[in-house]
Amino acid sequence: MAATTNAQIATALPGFTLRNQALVAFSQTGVTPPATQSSTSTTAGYGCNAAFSASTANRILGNAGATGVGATAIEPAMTNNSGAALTSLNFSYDFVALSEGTAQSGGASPFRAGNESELPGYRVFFSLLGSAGPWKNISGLNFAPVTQTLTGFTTTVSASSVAIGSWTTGSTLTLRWFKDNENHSSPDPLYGTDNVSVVPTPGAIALLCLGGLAAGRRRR
Amino acid sequence: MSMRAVASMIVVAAGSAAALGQASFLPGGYAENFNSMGTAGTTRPTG
Repeated sequence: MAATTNAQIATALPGFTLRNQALVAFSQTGVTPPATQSSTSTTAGYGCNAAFSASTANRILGNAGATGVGATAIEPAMTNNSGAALTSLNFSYDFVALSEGTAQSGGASPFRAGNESELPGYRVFFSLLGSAGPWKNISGLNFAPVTQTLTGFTTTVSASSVAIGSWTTGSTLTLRWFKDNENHSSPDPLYGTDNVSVVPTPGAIALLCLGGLAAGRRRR
Repeated sequence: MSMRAVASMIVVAAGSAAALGQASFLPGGYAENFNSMGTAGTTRPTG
């Protein structure tokens, strides 16, 4: 894997922001991230350009946590250029376990659900109002390993027909992969995100088209 | 030029400005496999 500055990653991936969250008290049972954030990190930190040695061309966006910060987040922002307002989306991504990291105080493994001293895995959110939020959790995209081998596995996580309100044409939807780092002893577990896909829910498109046809007939 | 036309241009321009530097969600959706980051480097960052 490559050690890469967060700024370099943001340059290579249009719309991606990588944030370090200032130290905060954070409930292990909650899923709502704090509303305020520190500024975007522009130095070498938790973001990394990763790959498995057997397939180096297949790159993975790694999140290693950052020493001295309470949480880290990856935030891709995208503009709705689909030509229609969207109300429902299908999401999927590959959660990749790259390495487990050291055991944290209060838990044997920071990586495995039910045995952790900080929130394991990823919590995934979206916002239609930018990084200031409010953020809404996409519960189907939250993932934490339970029984999987902790290093070197990949699993696809998906959520269908997620109601998002109204994402109007030309406006921005921001996603957030949120990684708790309350116990930030180094090295932290290293997660990866790969093969992100966001598509309009097919039924929602059909309904939008039917709505448009009905409106057109009323006008005639 | 009508006021409506001017208003439309302003709306389009504002939308374009907001889109700068962002990923584009097209009718087929959005996909990212991160392979554009390239293959240099061998070590993980301190985390």
